[in-house]
Amino acid sequence: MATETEAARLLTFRAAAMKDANYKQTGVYASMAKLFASENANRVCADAIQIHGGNGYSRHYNVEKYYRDARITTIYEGTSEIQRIVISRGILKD
Amino acid sequence: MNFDLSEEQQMVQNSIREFAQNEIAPIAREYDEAEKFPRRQLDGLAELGLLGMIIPEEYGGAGLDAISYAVALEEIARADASVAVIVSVTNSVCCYPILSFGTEVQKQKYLVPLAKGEKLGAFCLSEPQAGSDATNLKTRAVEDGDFYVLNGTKAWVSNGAQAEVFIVMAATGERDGKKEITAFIVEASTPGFTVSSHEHKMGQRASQTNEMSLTDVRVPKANVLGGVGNGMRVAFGSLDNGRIGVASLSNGIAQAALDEATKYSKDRTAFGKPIAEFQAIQHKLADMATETEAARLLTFRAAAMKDANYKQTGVYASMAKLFASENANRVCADAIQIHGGNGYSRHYNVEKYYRDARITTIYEGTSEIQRIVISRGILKD
Ligand SMILES: Cc1cc2nc3c(=O)[nH]c(=O)nc-3n(C[C@H](O)[C@H](O)[C@H](O)COP(=O)(O)OP(=O)(O)OC[C@H]3O[C@@H](n4cnc5c(N)ncnc54)[C@H](O)[C@@H]3O)c2cc1C
Ligand SMILES: Cc1cc2nc3c(=O)[nH]c(=O)nc-3n(C[C@H](O)[C@H](O)[C@H](O)COP(=O)(O)OP(=O)(O)OC[C@H]3O[C@@H](n4cnc5c(N)ncnc54)[C@H](O)[C@@H]3O)c2cc1C
Repeated sequence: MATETEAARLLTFRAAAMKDANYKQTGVYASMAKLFASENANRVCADAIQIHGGNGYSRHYNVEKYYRDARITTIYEGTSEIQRIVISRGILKD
Repeated sequence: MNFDLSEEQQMVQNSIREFAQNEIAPIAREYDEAEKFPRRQLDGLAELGLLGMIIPEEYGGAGLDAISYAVALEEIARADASVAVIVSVTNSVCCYPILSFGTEVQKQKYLVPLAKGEKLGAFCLSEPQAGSDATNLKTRAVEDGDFYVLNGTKAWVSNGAQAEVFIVMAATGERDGKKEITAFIVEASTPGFTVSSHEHKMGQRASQTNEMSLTDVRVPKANVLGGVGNGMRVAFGSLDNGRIGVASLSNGIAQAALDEATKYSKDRTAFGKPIAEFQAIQHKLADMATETEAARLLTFRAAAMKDANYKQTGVYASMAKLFASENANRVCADAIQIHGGNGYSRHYNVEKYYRDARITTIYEGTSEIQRIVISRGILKD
């Protein structure tokens, strides 16, 4: 969970740094960041619930909310499937 | 936060890429099949200063930072992981510990020729019965006048048959019920120190891995490295570079597999079109590229922390090693999938990449051990 969240953060900062520097490939990197970070958030929230056991399923614990909040991230602003199309186009055109 | 390589780092990348693609990639398959040691290629890398990359110029090295080290190893591994592991071992677990813990006399005598690439280095910690549980080693060193006398067996010694300078870990006694471990610098020519067998491996076959035996090997006390009883400090001191090195090597294999898979997907047609036009293939390529980029960023991040001497470098080096090695295995598996039946043939490079990648989740600390290191870092906060 920690390793992949750190990787997601670095991809996000990397895309942001490219945006600041007006790089041509920013779009592909922004898609990589969005794809990886949103899928990671869902995996991490699922594991966080698992670690909480039955309590993780209760509204008394925050992870129940995080799990629900994360679920839309792979859908809005372009679904994961659409991000993969953008990224693979970037690779295949080289 | 700066994510761009400096001009100097880009120069390293370009020059090593050129050398690796021209001099190493063309022989990689043949040397792998024959388990042939890449002597000539290493001589070329020595001329570029790569056998002492992270060693200051005053000791014969290239004086590069950790990011350049990561960049260089990735480029070498893109051409051949065997050559990369030979370079990584001599740099990170032989040169670096002597730089960090050696006396001035030891540095002049051993580090300078290692860093110049005149001699190759190796590191002997693992034993047949002690791998992850390294402190449980059985090799003993007993005092005798101005010498220590070493007896035992060392397993999995990378560069064992070619190295001239070895760092050997042995127990010099017990303290509080625990073994007291000491590091020794041992020359290959010392009587009683022999290569007892050659491992025939799945991959990285041009890098030789040997079992070494020590029978009454007399090592001068002047060759104790880092002080009696400080052996594990010496060993742990080299972990960051070792792990950043294996992470970089993994990224090189992953990038090579991704490049081959991308090329193949454009050439291969099925159902009347290039398979690159199928979304199932496109999505695999997207995941491979995204996760390889994430692995690279974790590796550079750990290297940047190493350069800045951060306390948490160890945890980040473990994250990089864990993620990059697991990623290399996934990417190589998918690259074979994209090649279909051809991917299973020795005519295609991805078959070799897949075998080369398989060890990366095991040596320099298994993935399970990396997870222990990372979770300890999180749990103690
Ligand atoms: C909370 C929330 C907030 C939102 N905010 C905004 C907003 O402010 N402004 C706005 O304009 N929109 C907004 N949206 C809409 C959001 O951008 C869309 O839901 C999203 O683009 C997906 O479209 P869709 O729901 O029609 O799914 P569809 O496009 O019908 O997709 C359904 C499934 O098919 C897959 N799919 C579709 N095309 C392909 C393809 N070519 N290849 C492979 N798979 C494919 C998708 O990935 C998905 O799995 C919001 C949505 C939500 C839920
Ligand atoms: C090609 C190659 C080159 C090598 N080069 C060198 C070298 O130059 N110098 C050197 O000293 N060594 C070298 N090694 C040895 C390498 O470092 C060890 O193989 C590695 O540390 C694992 O030890 P092991 O093989 O004894 O496995 P074991 O430690 O027996 O592990 C077996 C399994 O148990 C798991 N495991 C062990 N402990 C735990 C735990 N606490 N919790 C959960 N799971 C655990 C491991 O993760 C692994 O899955 C090399 C190995 C190879 C294959």
